[in-house]
Amino acid sequence: MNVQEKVRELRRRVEREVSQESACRSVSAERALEELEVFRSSCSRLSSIGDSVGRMPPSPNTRRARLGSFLIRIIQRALFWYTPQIVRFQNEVAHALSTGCSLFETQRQQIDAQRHEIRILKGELPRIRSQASRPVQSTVAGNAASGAAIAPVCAGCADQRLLDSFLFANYGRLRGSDGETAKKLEPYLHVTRSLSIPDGPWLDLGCGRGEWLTMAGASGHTVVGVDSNPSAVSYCQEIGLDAAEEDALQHLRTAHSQSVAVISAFHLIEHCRTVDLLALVRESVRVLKPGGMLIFETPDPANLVMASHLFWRDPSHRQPVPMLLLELIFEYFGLMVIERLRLNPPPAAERLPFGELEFVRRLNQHLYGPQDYGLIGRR
Amino acid sequence: MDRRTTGSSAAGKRLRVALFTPVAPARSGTADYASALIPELEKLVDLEVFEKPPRRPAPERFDSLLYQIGNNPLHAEIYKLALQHPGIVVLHEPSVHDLMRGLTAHREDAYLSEVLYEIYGEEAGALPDEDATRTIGPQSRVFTMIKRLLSRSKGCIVHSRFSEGQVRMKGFTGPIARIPHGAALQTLDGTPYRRRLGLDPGQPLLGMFGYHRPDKQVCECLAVFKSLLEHRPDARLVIVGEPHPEIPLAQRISALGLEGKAHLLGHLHIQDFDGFLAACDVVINLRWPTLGETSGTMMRAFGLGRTVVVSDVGASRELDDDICVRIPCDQHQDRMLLESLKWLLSDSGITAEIGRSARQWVSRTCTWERVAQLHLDFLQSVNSAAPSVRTTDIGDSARLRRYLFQWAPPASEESGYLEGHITRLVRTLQLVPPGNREDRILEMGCYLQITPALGRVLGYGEVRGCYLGSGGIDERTVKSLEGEVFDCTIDLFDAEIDPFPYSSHHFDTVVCGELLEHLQEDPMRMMNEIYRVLKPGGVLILTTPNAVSTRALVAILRGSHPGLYSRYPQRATVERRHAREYTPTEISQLLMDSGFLTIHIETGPYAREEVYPDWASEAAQRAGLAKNLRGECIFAVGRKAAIPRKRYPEWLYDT
Repeated sequence: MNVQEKVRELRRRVEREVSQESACRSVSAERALEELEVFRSSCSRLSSIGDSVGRMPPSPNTRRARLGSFLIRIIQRALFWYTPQIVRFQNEVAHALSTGCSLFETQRQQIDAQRHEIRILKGELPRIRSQASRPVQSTVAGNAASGAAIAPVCAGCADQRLLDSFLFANYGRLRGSDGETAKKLEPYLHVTRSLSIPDGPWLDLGCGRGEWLTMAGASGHTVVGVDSNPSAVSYCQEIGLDAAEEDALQHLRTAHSQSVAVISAFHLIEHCRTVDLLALVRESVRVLKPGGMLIFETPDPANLVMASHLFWRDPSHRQPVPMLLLELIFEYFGLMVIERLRLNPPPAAERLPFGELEFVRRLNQHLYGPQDYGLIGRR
Repeated sequence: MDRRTTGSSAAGKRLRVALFTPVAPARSGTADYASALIPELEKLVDLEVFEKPPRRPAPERFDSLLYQIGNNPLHAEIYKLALQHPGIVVLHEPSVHDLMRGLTAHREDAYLSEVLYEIYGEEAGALPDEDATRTIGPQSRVFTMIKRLLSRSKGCIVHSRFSEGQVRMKGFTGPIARIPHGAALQTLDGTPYRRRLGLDPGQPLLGMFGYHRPDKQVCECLAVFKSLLEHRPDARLVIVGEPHPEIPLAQRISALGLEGKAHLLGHLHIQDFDGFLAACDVVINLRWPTLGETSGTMMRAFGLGRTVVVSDVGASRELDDDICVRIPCDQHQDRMLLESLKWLLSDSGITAEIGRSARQWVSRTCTWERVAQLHLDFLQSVNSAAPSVRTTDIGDSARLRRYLFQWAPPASEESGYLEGHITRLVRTLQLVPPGNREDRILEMGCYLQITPALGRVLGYGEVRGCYLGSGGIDERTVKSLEGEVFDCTIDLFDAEIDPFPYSSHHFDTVVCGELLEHLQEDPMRMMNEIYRVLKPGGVLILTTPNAVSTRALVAILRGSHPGLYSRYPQRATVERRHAREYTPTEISQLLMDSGFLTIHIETGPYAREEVYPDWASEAAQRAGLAKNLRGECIFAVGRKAAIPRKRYPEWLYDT
């Protein structure tokens, strides 16, 4: 019988159980638990030390040690009234600490319970909020002549809510995981670093899971995100980002002129109608400080696979915006195009072979070229 | 003592041996050990046993002096005698710290000077920075205090590879024998003892035996026993042995509400001790931390065919897989103990089978008869003047040397380098603590010269290399002249700039040979990263040229450059030139500043011992300067047992 094999098997089980148990607790709660454990063990150490107060330490059987212990015994006898006091003091301290320990324990349990409750309530919140704002929204829509809402207009708001949840849940599959998306945004941060831009807050329209908020925030800017999807906003807020649930255009309209340094919208404009896109750029130009930047990223229809197929994978996409059109709009509203980024080509392995032949090269360019483009304009 | 007379001992003349040891009824593990060994040893040699040093010692009457050393104050006189009359020491644990602590009680200076001896060896007084060392408090796990004893010994007997490593790390180069701790095969009926506790025949009984020091995890075991009662309400626990003053067992038992379930019996006569051992289904014998001791209780339990639960640490790791249950000493310890106990108690067939394997193992490897024979063999080999000093695989320098040359093609660049560094490489290997299958070692500046030996000779399960480069890995396969194949992954990065590509607390040992002096900008960065990747308690072996060697001294006085290697490379090579060479004191300071406690420093040659004019050492002596630590290469051993003190020590960095 191989005993150690069995022990390893037990260990795997224990590790699994422990990790499952700890997954149930949030990070901070686990930390508190660890500290409580330290507290508790120091309590028990303290009480065990208490029992050795006034006792003789073990010493070797040498003349010197015998003499030493004899002297200690004399001193102890001389201080007979003092040792009990120390012991009593020690016991009181240990008692107070253990009371504190159990008090913390109950408090921690209460906090855990409350935290759990908060989490449940938070989940309920977007639903309640959308229900509450529904009649107001519809009157606004009725009054606004142009029907300015950018988000796809649905007949029933419950259905809208369903679509929102569907989109957010599948965000990863539509746009890639957090880390991937963050990596894709790197070039923009590079451009903003290389140019002098005015001081002031940054604004991210359609902030999604807040990748840009995180990245720009990490490089020292104040960034506010806006998204019309309540699930996305509550996600951002959960991880400590500054995000508000609002329609992008609505937000811009209420913003002060010349108040923002950088406005960005990654994969937003393909969700808009042309009229809304025009309004979006016009309002952005008004809100931007002189020298400020407008960053748009959107799928590039110059890539035929993207234009004909991949673009429509996301059911909330409305229409592709070619780079030529967007450049025209930027220039029309007085923005200077300072950077055109062609991004995210499919893996090189997908390209057709014999790329050095002219017609293959062109085919490759149209079929397997960059899938997205970014346009950066400066006011 | 005339060594040559013993040459005839093999021909029939019996060896005359003096054994210095406490004997029963003294309450000490060594006394129990001696009482078992003496009858067997008496059959083989003319044995005289001394419990106390004789008034007038006459070492010339004996062929061998055998000292049993332990930490019980009973050993104080024996220890002193062993220093006066060198003999062979038996270390049941590779530490005499607690004994020394007792001998230097209330004299901090005496303790400190023992610590300094422990690190620097002879003539330490003038060397280190007093203020820096003064901050060292009692560190029983780090300063094992065996260097002085070993330096006065002709040989050393230990029970495990682990202990051998600890002894070797102190720079001991004499013969070491690994003789297993003996055990007696006994058949005892535990039923009367179970009846004494009022147990029914099928009721499971657990036991904890011996002196209940804090490192035996007694309180933790009590808590686990309490949880076990939820699954096996009929289980009982018996605690036998002297209580420790810092562990109030009776209070703990009543605080946990275990009265009537856990029986506290105190110290018992050895017969009753064995009887209760025989009555137990499972014996719990945990240790953390460990000094490398082999538990006498555990060996008794093996001899009685009991199932023992031990900690997966130190010497216990070397036990066969099927004779005991080893549980890890980490955050899962208590949980694992609980699960293991539940498993063991689930079926009496399991404990019976493990017990049977344990008894077979004892009869195979460590009956007292065999242990006595091994003692005799070792005493004879130490006494014989022949060079074939019986010693272990790692201790045999010549064999290690041959092994290393196996891995270098003859007349190649590699074998040229090996030729010039062979003594250093062999010495480095001897300072590395031996490892196990689960242990990991990192060799920095990996040339694949000692790398195969780290795995094959020292027994590390995972050997990783790293070398200067700009990212990526290099998978290398080397083949020895005898056709042995060794694979190693070498990570390429810049140790003073890049973070090491390993997770924290990953390695048990790091070897950093001849690398420190090449660092150009930020040596502390490397030290910090080594600290990070080592496990707590892990060991760093550092070698580097000695800037204040006798060679350098002679060079200066003769008007040449003192540096060992002060040339610039003509072309840009992977190698960087020596940026700074260090002194032994600086190395000790460097280790201390980066969170290590220096446990040993020595110096020695790279290849052949060079001979320098006498006036060099005379000059040092005349000026009252240290004469030792003047070899060409510094070998330092540090243990991760403190916290990093400085990121930019002022002696090394300018602001």
